[in-house]
Amino acid sequence: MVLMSEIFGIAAVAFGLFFSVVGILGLVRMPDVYTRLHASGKVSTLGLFGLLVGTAFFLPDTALKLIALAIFAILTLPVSTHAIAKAAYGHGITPARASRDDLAEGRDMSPSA
Amino acid sequence: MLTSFLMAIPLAVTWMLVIGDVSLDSLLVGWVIGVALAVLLRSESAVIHWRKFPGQVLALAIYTLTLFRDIWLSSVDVAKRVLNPALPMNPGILRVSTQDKTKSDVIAAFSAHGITITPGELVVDFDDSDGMYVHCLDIGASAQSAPGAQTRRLGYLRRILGQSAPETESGA
Repeated sequence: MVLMSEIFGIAAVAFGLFFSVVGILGLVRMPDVYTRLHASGKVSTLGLFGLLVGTAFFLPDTALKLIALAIFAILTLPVSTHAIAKAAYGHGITPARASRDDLAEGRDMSPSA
Repeated sequence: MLTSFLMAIPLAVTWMLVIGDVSLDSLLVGWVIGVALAVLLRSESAVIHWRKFPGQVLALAIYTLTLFRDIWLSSVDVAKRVLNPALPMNPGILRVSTQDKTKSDVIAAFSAHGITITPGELVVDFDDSDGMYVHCLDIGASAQSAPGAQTRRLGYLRRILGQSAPETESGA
């Protein structure tokens, strides 16, 4: 029984580590703020989730707290992603290699925005 | 007010479980904090009808499962792009309608949350009408899938919030 929980724990931690590493790799490889947010923001959500679930298997006493943390992380991480993207756009950073930018056209029509 | 007192009960139980101290004291502390939060954050958008309540919980459960599937697909899709040596992508910013004529802030916020979590899309900005500006990693695929995904999401959100869709459409 203990062995089973350890196997699941290691699998979940490995899963989380894989996605965390991919997230960081994306942060290095992507060309601009927005695409980097895609890589770090989203891939790390699953990375963090895997690490928290893995920890829950190793420390069953804290499992409820860790699950609560995972839920709060999933609820709040997209908010910070959006805040960074909006701040970057407001700062005048245009998306790199963009084939289409509806927001720029919208801004031209309504200068108040 | 009565609704706030009742809503605080599940919050109190959650608090007790998360604190890890199953006792009357922690239940009472959780309940008092829960009532305060329920009163402060009371929203006109979320209506609890006792007859609709099971349906609302069911819709929330389905929506959560869909969200988890989306997080999974999103992460795998972005991970594949990052690990591909050619770094395939076609980024751009797309205008997506929230399709919500009532311009409800709650619905706008939850749709933005859902979109930011779906494959290769993140919400950059809103406009004064019902538009969201979504930065997509692959604008071709997103332009096709985004409006349909939003229609589905809006259906779930309305059911979770206890609104019936035709009513709000005509009320707009």
